[in-house]
Amino acid sequence: MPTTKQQLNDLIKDEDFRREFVADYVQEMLSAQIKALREDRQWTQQELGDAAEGMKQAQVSRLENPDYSGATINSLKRLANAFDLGLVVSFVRFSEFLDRITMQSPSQLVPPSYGEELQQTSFAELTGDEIWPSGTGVYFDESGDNGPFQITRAGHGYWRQEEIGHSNIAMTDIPTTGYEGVTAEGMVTPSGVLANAAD
Amino acid sequence: MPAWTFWDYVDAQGRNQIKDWLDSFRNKKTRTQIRSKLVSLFQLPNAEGALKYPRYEKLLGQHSDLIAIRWERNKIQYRVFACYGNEARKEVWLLAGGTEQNNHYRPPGILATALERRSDILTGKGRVTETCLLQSNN
Repeated sequence: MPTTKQQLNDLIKDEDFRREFVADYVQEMLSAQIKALREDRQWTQQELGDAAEGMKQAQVSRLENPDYSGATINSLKRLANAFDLGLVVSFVRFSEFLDRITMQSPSQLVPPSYGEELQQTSFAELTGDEIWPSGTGVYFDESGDNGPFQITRAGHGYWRQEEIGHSNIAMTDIPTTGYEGVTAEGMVTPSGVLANAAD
Repeated sequence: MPAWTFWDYVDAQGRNQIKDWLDSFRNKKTRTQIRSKLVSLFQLPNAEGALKYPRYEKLLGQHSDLIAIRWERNKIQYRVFACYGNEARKEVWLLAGGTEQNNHYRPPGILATALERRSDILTGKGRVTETCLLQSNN
């Protein structure tokens, strides 16, 4: 069964699809991310506008509208400052474009601000890799009917869980904040046991 | 929590009704635009337990089992009606596609059709298959 990336790879062989897809994905992702970041901060559109160097609420509303295609680099830079995040705008090969899309995870939609990242980094430095060991394993949730998944370390504070042999999208990140320790079965997380998590 | 996966409704005769809807557009450019829009939506990461993006709207009242996926292109309002499927596998079942103009759907009765198809899947008269939208040979 082909993976999502393989399926997308086939689809983009069609030039018309390729062009449409880049425009659609960028527009959908951008509007979704701006809205998700604002809601994560529990800001109104007005509050985000104020934080973005006096951007009007109506402009924030437009930028959150997936049908709006007039976002400028300047407005994105102002929003990045407001969210205290970096901004990447670059032309890439299609293989890289597809890599980025198919590796998107929930934690990447709402990344931590610079301050939050500093806190997480400090914690990781204090605790070391014992909290978030790298490696892969097979994960079953408590009901036992939701797996197996491939588990890899996704970054500070997250395990990436990807369903094995599934051609559709089935990937998520499990926060390790509820990490409870290691038992005979494996790593214990809030939603189940991560077994065989060996390096 | 896994991201959502998207599945097409297949009727008792084995016809993929989402594929049939897509194929009903004679213009290849239109089919490409529809496919691109839906595939790009499928790739968005899911930060929470429900489909929260503005394109998705959970319907109310007698249609509360349905989700509408809405977008506009070339002054045409496209609609795909879907529902949540197997929750453990985070499935979204695509039930029926159409367009809307002045609060009138084409094909007419599409909401009732979508509900019937959902019922068909649940009772085993119909089934779902991996969405044709991600398959290049369709």
